[in-house]
Amino acid sequence: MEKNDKVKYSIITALYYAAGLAGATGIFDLWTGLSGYETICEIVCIVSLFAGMVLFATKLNLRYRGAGKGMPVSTITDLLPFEIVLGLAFGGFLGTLALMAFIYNYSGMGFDVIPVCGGAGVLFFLDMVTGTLASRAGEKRFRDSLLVVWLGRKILKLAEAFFTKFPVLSGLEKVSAGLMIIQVISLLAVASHTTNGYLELAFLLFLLTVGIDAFVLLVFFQMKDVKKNLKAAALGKYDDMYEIKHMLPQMKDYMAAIDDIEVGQKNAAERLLKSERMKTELITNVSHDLRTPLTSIINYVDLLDREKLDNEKASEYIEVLKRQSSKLKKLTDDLIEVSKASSGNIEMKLEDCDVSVLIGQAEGEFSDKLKARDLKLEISGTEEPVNVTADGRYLWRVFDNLLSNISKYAMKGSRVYIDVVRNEGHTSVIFKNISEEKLNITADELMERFVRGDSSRTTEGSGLGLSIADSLMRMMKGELVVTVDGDLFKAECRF
Amino acid sequence: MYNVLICDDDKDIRNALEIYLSGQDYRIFKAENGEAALKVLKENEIHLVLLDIMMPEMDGRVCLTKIREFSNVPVIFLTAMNEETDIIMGLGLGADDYITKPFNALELTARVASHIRRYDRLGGMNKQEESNVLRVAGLEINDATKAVMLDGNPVNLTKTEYEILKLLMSHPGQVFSPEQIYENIWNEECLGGESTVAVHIRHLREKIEYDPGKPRYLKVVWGHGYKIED
Repeated sequence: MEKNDKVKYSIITALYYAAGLAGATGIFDLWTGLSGYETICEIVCIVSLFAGMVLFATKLNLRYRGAGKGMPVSTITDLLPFEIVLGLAFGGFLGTLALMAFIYNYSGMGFDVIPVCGGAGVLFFLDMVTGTLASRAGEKRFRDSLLVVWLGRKILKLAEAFFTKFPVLSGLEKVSAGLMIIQVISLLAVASHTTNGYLELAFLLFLLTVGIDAFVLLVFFQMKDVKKNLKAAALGKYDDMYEIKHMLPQMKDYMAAIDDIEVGQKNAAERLLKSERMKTELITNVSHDLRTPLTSIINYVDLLDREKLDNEKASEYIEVLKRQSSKLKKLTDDLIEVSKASSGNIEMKLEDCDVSVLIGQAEGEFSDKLKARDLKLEISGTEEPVNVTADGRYLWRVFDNLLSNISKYAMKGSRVYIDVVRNEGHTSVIFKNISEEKLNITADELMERFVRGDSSRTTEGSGLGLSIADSLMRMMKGELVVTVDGDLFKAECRF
Repeated sequence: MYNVLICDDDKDIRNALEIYLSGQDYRIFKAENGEAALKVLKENEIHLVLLDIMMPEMDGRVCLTKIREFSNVPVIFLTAMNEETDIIMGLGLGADDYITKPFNALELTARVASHIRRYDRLGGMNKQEESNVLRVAGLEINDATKAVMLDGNPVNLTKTEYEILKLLMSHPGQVFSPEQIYENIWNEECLGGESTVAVHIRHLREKIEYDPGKPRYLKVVWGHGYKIED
């Protein structure tokens, strides 16, 4: 296809020029009456002019269609700005006129050279200009192809770059920079108009103002750098800071102050890290130091038990020891857990956790304990998966603590409600039950460590359950809200 | 006659362990720190090591690494920490098992027996038997006889409990949701059967775990399902 188009175009162009020239010659001959072949000239004129116009139109069409599509009928002239093409075309026209004059004067070819050269010149001009216009028609291509447009855009870009590269130059500074430029220009103007006597003075003044301007600008630019460094220091990104070359003494003071800030920040970070490490070490050591003697207590009580002493009182005492050491073990475990939770020393893997599945699993765990006190579980909102972002193991600990409390303190034979509720972008799991004994205590007091309702002091439990649950919920970016209303105890785990 | 090495920096714990284990007919060696333990290991044939993690001078982990340089003897860690990370790291270093303090005497003696037996038995069982047996650490199912053993002691399970255990043990480490377990065992759609599964799991756990509160094998993945941990 491409080759064909190229060939087609070349043939049409050649024919166009032939027809044009023939027509031009015919008109000229008719006009000057040089040859005697009037009728032939007329026919040639009409035919060739008509053919010429058709060819011209075809050419234009080919150029228009081929432009911008990389089709071979576009020519190199399409890549040049329009003004240049115009210039070239006009230059070409003038060239042919010059050629015409030359040939007419120095060869004996006679008048016929006029229509041929002049006609060729006109045809060339027409061809080039209209052809390139046709290629640039449509879709703003003409506008884009103009040299002035191109120049204008370049200037705008430079101006934009200038103003955005110096953002620190606030409006005031930009104005003063502008004023300085005007000042320099006006000085130059004055200097150029003064007579010789004042020329040196004007020149000196000019130098002085340039010096002051340069100094002020230097201060501005250094202040910009100081500001950048300050910002980096505030964010702790000390690597982003860079050295300012040839710092003015005032700037040196600022930079020294920033260095002090950096040292202060690094010290604080180190202290924090050290204290965190100490906390972890403490918990590890306490855990070990408490559990080691506890292990021996439990082991030797067990060994005593195996001795099968004949002494009834001794057996009784051993039972007490077994019970109490077991309680101590549970308390130690809870205590270590609460200190880990409240010091944020727990590694939480927060991911999608299906609360519906979790509640089903919890139900399975507590079914016997709840049945032992004739408690009926009423669950709602778990028909479909309900996902929250939490660590499944620790969310289970929260539910475990809450349900453990319920199975110990709820009124026998009553109903226990677990509702999964979603609204306003929050998901809540709400545990509700009626308390067996009176709750003479506010919700806040209950949440405190080691606090238990008066009546629950006789039962198992360390009083840490709600406190642990609260810490864990907060670490999972949620909260535990406890409300006490008469005998109704309500614990809401909200995400 | 098997030889067991006890290494712990606390004298009372060492003695208590000795009392428990000598009742099982083992010859007991004691060491109060890592260096002493290595010396005993090099001079005697030891069949199992009980190794405390937190000891002064050379701690359990370093000691274990040194032991593994020259011996494959089964090592059980005694640890006061029950952080999952510590346990996983300990097992990763080459320990065969771990027991947390304070420990249950029954569990301890059963685990020791189970590990010694396995070490001894290496390569002992014939191929036919092996293909019917599913084993995870001390827990063993023989599908031909439908027998379930925990550290050598038989466990009585109901048919459903056995099926669930078998399903989980065929894919150790894989989490099964309550729904999946239900559909697999009962072969019908699970509509509200999740709590049934949860109850069976709890009963199963109470039967195969020394401390159902701190299970060694049957683990709950809260919010997702259940698995057998290897």
